[in-house]
Amino acid sequence: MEDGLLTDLVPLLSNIEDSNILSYYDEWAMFPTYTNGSIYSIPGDVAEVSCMGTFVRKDWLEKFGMEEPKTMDEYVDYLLACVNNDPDGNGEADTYGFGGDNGDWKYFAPFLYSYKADVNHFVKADDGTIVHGSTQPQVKEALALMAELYQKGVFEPSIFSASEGETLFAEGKVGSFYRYLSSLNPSQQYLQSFYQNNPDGEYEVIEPIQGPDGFSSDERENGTGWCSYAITNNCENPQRVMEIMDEIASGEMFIMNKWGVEGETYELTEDGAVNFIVDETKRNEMGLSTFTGFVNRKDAYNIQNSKEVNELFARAAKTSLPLNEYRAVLGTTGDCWKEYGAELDKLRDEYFYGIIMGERPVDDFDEYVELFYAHGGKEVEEEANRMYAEQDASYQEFCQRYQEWFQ
Amino acid sequence: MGNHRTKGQKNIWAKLWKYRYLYLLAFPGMLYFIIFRYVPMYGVVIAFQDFRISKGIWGSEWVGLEQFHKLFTGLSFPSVFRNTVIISLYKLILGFPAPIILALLLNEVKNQRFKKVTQTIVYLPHFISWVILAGLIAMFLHPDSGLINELVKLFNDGKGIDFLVSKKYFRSILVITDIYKGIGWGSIVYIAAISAIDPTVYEAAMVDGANRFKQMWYITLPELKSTIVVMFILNMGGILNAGFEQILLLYNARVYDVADVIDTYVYRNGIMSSNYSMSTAAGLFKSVISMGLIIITNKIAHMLEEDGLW
Amino acid sequence: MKNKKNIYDYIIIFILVLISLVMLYPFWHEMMYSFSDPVDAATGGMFLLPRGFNLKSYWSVLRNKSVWTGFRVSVIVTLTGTVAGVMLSAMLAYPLSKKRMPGRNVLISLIFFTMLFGGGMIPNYLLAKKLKLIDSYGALILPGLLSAWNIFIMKNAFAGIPASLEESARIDGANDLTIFFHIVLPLSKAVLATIALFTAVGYWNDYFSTILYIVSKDRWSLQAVLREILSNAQSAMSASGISVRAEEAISSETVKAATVMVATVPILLVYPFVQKYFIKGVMIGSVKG
Repeated sequence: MEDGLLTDLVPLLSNIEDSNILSYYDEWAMFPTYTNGSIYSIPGDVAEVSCMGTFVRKDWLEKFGMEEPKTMDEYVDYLLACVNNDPDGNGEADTYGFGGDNGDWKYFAPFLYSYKADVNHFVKADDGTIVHGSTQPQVKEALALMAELYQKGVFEPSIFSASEGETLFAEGKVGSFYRYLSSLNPSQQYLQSFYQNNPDGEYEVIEPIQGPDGFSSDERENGTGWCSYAITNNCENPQRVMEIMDEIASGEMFIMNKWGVEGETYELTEDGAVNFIVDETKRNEMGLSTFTGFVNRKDAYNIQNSKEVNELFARAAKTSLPLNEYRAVLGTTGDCWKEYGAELDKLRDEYFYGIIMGERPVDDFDEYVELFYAHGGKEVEEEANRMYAEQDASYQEFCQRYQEWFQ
Repeated sequence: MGNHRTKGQKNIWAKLWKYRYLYLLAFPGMLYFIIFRYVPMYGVVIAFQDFRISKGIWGSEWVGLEQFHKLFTGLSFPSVFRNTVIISLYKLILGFPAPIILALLLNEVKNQRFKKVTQTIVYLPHFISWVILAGLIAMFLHPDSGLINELVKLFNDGKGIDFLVSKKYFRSILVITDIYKGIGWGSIVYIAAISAIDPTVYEAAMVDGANRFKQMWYITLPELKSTIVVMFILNMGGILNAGFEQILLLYNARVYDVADVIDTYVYRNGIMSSNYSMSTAAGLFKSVISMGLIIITNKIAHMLEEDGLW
Repeated sequence: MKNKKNIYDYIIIFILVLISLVMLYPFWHEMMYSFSDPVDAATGGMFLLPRGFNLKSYWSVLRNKSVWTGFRVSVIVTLTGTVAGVMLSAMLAYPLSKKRMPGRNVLISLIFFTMLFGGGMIPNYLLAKKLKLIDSYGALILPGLLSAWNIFIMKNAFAGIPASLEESARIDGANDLTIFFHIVLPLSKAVLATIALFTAVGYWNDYFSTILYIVSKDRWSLQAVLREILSNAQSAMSASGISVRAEEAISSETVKAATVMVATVPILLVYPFVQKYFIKGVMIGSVKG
């Protein structure tokens, strides 16, 4: 964009009646491509605004005689029962309450978000300033809770060192996860394996757990794509290209691109799974799925999601709103963060995991906050405040222009 | 008298002429090094720049030693450097002799078939990537269901140890698994060297009544000495590497304190900031230290009357 | 000497068998995994036998045309590279083993320097571009042809050949070339085989050169093809025309295991051939007389 190699897409898009691209993407999704006062690329693959949820074992809840947990107390009761009440009935203490992959704090969402603790992002403090979520006082409470649960054996150990989430999910010895909603799609291999090993087992996704202050939220994706497509200045007929791109973005074309024609290349099963009728070589010759990187639709046209899963996505879009309001999402990385960020993250992880696993006392959290501010935290927050204000202003401007261009 | 110089010059040319065939042999190889190794070497300057891909090497700003300064004054650098040295030393002290011992053991096997099969099996882990091995290691070390802990539980009151998050054991895990992966492959050089030893020397020794231990000690090992020395000096070159891929896959926040090394530190910082320059600077720093170590070790080898690299 | 086995023999055999079993496990695990049904295998754990034996995963990997073109590319590159590399390395290492050759130390230092210092990806790429090597076999073979490491090992081995052999040959009128090709090389089979093995494995496992230098889909090396399958980067591959099971973008672990097998087994088959050069007594007959 800086070197002037790309074509301005605004005039091209506004020439298309009933544009598919514009009806699928909203301003927030298109915003990252806003440069030099115009739009130069189209996002390719944007995740759903919320795609994870709190999983529990429905059959275990029934066995324990418990209702679906809503508050943290109820949830903890459930988790402890998973550990102590031998839900798989084999006489051995080999079950756990909670498990998941290592490496991202979002996998601990039920314990964090219920306390309004968002440790890996910038957030809006009560007075409106932007601060780093890991320094907020409620984080200490969340950590204390997790430390207690750790002592009671609730956590499956690999959540602290490895990425065994899928295998644990299939095995069925862990009572609760925070994982991707698409895991419940019937065609998912790990789900099929789970049913094979646990014929009476059933997972369900519950609404996010409420913390002591009544706050609850699911994880929110930042709504921006990880790749995008542009038209270079070498193109002879950019308008035509834009029209083609727009056609591909339509729901029907998406289905045809990815799966083909119903009855000819694929079929829908009862529970909503998509099965291919033609074999793989033929599929590749036909070119199926070659263009799915372009406007990868996640709405109803994504027919590999079963009805239930789509409903879960829709619900999650709502249950994740509280976090969306609390978080301050920055589209780019600032220079200060580039300089201090890695070390600050390391500091946080060392302290937080240390507290959870009992190596450090909970009060070490205060030490962490001091160190955070002493080693770049102050500069980083100042920068975040500046950038957020600028971004906000730019976004307002963008939305205004957006109306002008496309309305 | 005026002929002295010309005679000296004549002698130099005469010498070069004498060795002409050797120079001829060496020529293609040296050509390769010059073209494919020396010509691209200017890339090292990235370490002294604030490199941006869009600007390229010639367009990026010069910052002198700033990248190095950033590297050395990082909050974690002292512990990171310490870990690098400790882990590398640990791996060297235990890991260097291991393949030699294995080669010696294999040498004692009389049955050729068994020997060949064992040799082939023993170097298999080298071909399994760390990605796969890390998964297997996690499985075996699982505090509750891992095989290793089944043993540990017998001695430890029924409680397993979570090795991968333990500061006490993590480095040992790194070293043991690294030896595991490399011992078979590393022994190949020594097996080859042993096979070049003249068997008549062994025959003579046996006639003199030497048992197999004496043979190993007085024949095999001395014959291997020059190979061992060269391998040792060469290993000095990689001493600050400490096993980036292995550590990256196995480590976690609990063991940063003992296992974060220069490469993993630079990697995390680089991800955050796309700092190509800093990783080049770190690489340069490691190389300079390695070079110093190699030169020193080489001198020591000479003092012990052995051939080094030079 | 009779083939009597004593207690030490048994101890050594016992230790080696134990070591072998432990060393074998990861490979065995991957192999069993690759022959398993994806759903049965999903729960992880130890694998002593396949679970739900089937060849689905292999089928999915091997029916992919790109795997075969990749195989062809890798075989060509590995064979050419190994032969050329070993030859050139030996030709360079031998003179360096002669302490009296003028300039020897300079050359050694130059080579040594490259072991620790290098230019990195960008200059290498630019060089390949200048030499018009981009997208050619040359780019896969040339940049990694020689390594200081291998040369030093060879040099050390050559230095170990008794001087007496050389001297007697010289008396008979041989020059350096004849000595090198007719005496030194034949006697160095073990080290040549070793370096050949190292070089071959290096070429076979190299995927990065493809990523850096190759554009056309039919010139991708096997490792690069397989790696793309593993990392689900379907957009990159479909852009360059390589077909991939796009729907298995959540690539099942069994397919990954089958990929590992396909990538590794060919090069493993090389070692047994190399082993025959590690037999003792290659020097018999040369020292006597």
